[in-house]
Amino acid sequence: MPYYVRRLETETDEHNDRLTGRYKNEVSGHLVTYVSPGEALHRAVKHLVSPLMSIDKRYTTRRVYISGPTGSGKSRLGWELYCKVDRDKRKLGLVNVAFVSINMAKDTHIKTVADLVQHILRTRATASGVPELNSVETHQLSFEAVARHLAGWKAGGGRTALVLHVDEFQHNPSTVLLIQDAIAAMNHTNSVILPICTGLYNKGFRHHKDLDASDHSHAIYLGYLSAADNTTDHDAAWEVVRNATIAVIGRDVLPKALKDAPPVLRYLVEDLGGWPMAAVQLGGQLAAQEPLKRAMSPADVVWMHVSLNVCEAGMDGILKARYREPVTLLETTLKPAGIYKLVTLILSPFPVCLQRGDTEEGIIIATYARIHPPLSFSAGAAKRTDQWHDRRRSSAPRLCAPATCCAL
Amino acid sequence: MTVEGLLRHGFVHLQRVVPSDDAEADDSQGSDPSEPPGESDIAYIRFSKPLLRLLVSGLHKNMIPFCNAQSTIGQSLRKLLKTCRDYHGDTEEAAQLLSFVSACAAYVLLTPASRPRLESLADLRPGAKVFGDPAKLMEMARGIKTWAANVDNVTTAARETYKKALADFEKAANRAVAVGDVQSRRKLADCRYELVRCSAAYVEARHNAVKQQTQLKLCKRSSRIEDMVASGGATLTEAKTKGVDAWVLVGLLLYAMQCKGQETGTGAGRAGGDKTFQPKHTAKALTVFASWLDEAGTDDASVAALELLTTKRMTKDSKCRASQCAKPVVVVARDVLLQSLGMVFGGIAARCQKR
Repeated sequence: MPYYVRRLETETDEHNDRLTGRYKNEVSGHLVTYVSPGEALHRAVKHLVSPLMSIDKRYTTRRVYISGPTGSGKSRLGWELYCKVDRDKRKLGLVNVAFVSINMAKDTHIKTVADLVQHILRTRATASGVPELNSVETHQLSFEAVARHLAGWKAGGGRTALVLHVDEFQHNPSTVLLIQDAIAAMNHTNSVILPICTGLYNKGFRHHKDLDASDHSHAIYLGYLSAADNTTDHDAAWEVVRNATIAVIGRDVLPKALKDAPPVLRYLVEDLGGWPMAAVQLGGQLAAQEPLKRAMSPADVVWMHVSLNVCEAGMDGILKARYREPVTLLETTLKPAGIYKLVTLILSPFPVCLQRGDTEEGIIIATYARIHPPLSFSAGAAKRTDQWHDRRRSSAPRLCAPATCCAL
Repeated sequence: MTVEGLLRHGFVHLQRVVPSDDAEADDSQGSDPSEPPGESDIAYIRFSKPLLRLLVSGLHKNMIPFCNAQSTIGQSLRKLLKTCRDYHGDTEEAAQLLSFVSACAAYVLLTPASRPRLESLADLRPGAKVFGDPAKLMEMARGIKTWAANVDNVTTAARETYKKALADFEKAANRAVAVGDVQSRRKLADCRYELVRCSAAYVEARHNAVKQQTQLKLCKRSSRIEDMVASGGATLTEAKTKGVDAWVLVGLLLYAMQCKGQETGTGAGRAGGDKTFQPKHTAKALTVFASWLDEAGTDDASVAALELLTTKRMTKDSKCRASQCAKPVVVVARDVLLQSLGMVFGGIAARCQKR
């Protein structure tokens, strides 16, 4: 996802090649109409946005950390939260809402709040429709002022909000905390910053409180598409497949309900297990099939001419290309015996026990985040790391039992 | 690597067994329902099948369970995991056999604290109904428990080394908290490295012990009881064998398997009627099994039980008819297919249909 999502430009793009990626018929997930996975978006909105409704107009910032398996739509959720706030801005008493997304894996130069401010101003200047600020002003601008500026605040105007999406937060947790603290210290009367962090829990973190011990921090787990009873929501996966097909060919040519789809296609969707990334790619592969390209409505599709095995192979090819590196890393980490055990457990009908402390299963990855710098810390960040550790010690002095939980 | 470690790689989706009733509860009230699952509870490890295919296809042969499945039973795991394939009777038989062997292997591979309850062999088929005297099934369960105990015994040294590394790590961690100087952090880093090394060695030791201490291997197809007892392991019977489709040897006892009938009709999204697996079908399956036992003669004492699997729906009467068999019968019907065989093999079996 680009740092500044200029969604309108891509939504009106009618050329398929602009929608597809490096691999054959690959679809970029952020171009596909969103399907909310369970309650995750609702909960993020509840945490971040509900306090805006307080009568005294004093907003106490909330810190939301969203984690989950890869391809589950974590990064997308940041954008969707902005869309939700933007839609409801009148109800929330906001005049304008802006969105900024930074990626801690790519924007490695962001080490302080000042770096973030400069980064926002520099990249924002390249975006269309935003008045540029001259260099003298930028040095004097506070984080709050930047937020006001981005949201188009004018003197005497109403309240504005900036949704700040910090992606891949695990790559630089100390900076993320600095940003969170700066936001918490802001006067939120006229301009509000709503921070939302997405990523994976680093090797150093067992628990989101290890990362951010603030009373106002909340973790949301975003798994595969699941129904309320925790079973896979195949209908939601089908909706994603349809949306991906619509994004590419511009027409809704798939049956509305999964039960109306041909059996093998239904099997393909069921086998996705509710993984949104695979659902998007399956939709892209279907859209590349000639019978669907030519069809104007679901009734026009001659399914016997659709090669679903080609779709399966195409989807597998894209996923292989995308996940070759992480899979190799997983193999290297787990070693053959660990992989064997993992696959055996996936194939078996048994659940695994996740209790900690008294089991002896496999390799333990150290979890003492409070005393152990995350591996991604650079040497140059040593001072900030120490500060970060000091803060961790003071805020959470109790040493937890190690997570000796089961399985591998 | 713990399950939590896997979560950090971003691959695994954990499906909690007990649904979180407090999803709507305010997170500020102590428990945090939106936490990543992994703090407590019991959960299924879930992989999307495309991801599982990707993992299995890229692996070296010795990393995959059932690496000799193609040469022994004519079905490889890689092929079975493909969605666009034929779902015929052979696939159903393979799914029944491999799911059972997977359950056995998972039980033995897990450490004692994580193992599920195993009083009877039928406990390897969660949700299945048992009819008849369960004594033999309990005896076989004891056999598997013996394998597991042997694995635990053989790996005692590796476990002790691992526990020592864990204790050293905890000590170093506590010191690093108390002192916080560079030296204590270095020591902690060393201990962490040692801990990871020792626990990897422990996992590998258990893996090797399972291979040595158990009979969990696939062998060439055979249909005669004496051949089965002699070869050990598990396999399918030869094509056209009536009465038994697959078997597993635990100790000196055989667990026979038979799969019958595929679901059709609107309930299964296929052409055909919605007929259930009726009592007469159960009776017929048991009759064929009995004739196979008769042919086996005195060797039939080696056969401990029959597992009757059908992807059709079964009424209570149909299931109860299984109690008329001379041997105990474990019945797995459509209603418990995913629960008993697991999501992967259960899903494959549920799709099987007559050619």
